Amino acid sequence: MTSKRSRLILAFALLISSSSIALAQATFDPHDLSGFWLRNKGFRGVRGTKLNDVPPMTPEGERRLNANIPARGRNKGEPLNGEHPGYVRAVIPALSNDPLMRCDADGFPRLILDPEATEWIMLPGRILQLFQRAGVTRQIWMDGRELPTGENLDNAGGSWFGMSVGKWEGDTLVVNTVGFNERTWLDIYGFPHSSEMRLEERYRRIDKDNIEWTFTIYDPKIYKEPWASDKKNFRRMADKEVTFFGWKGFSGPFEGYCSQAEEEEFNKRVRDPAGLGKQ
Amino acid sequence: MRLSIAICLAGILAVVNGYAHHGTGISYDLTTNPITIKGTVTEFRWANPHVSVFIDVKDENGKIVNWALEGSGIAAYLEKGFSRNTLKAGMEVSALLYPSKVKGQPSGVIAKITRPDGQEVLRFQSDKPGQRGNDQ
Repeated sequence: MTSKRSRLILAFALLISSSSIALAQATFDPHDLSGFWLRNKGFRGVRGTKLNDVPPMTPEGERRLNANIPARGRNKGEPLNGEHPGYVRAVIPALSNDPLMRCDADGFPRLILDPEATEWIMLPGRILQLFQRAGVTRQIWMDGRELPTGENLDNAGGSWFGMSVGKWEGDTLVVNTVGFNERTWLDIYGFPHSSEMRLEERYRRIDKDNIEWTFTIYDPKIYKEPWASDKKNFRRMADKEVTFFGWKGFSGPFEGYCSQAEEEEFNKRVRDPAGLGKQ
Repeated sequence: MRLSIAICLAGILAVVNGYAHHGTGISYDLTTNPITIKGTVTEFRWANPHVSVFIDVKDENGKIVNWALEGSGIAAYLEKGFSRNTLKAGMEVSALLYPSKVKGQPSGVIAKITRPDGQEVLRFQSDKPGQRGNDQ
């Protein structure tokens, strides 16, 4: 009898305990995106590598795609097997013209596709996204201003990361960015964009620990149709990921900064001899 | 068991991290068994974008050849407890590495380095070939 009562008490306690945990997990403000987030898994391109994952490109788009020579993806010369040729053309890094290998900025969406730690800070009228990679801070204007157009766009244009304006549509944060230069790649695979690109991103906090992220490239000079991404995810970084040096090295001696001097030294002494056989 | 899973996971993460920006795997032959070299560290370059180690190795003719070895990034190594003091110039080490695809080129990407005290450090690639870094 005592044993039966004990089991009942235990079962009740477990029920209360698991309900409390579930409640704690479910409680979050969908408009609060502050914290440390990591996009640590998933495809690092826009949607997928198959032929129909990439929209038809304009002749100018094809020309620019061919001018970009990546060191990422499957190796050049391998059979396509249904994949878009843009994903099967990697060469050794010494022969690549990836802008990152001379420390040019990543641009968007490439920087956001990078699987390194980020911190997001909510401020009145602005959201800041801090990227460990390259130590970049992004400002998303939330004060109601419009995207720049006309002369304002010309003045803003030609920048590595453009200008970003965000607004809430229900529980989805919609961010539009314009004003890019043409020196960055969309991704590690060397897909191009023009200065006329508009990047539209959608962030939705789907639970306490995850933010769903999708984006669409609007760039008719390069792509004949809008290029919509697959669903991507940011996960909240756990407390245990804090190290002496910060969040995954977010602060401290690893600043993630791309120094051209360091990059050139590495290329000259390590990367290029390994690939080209020279010293 | 838990330890070996952790070590495996750390290895996978190191590969992912190391390939984060440079796609360096293409320059090295990761498909055949790694080789071991023994020699004296001439320089331990603890710097972005990838940590590198330079080692003087005596070849079969007695000639000293300086090897350039590529490691992971600083962030990945910091997380595993390594630092700029992990190796010092003058230290006698052995290195397990995958050599450059260019025949005869004294370049390689590190699997691991063994210090004089027997400690294995700077794990980057797996000891087993055929595991190309995660480029996706």
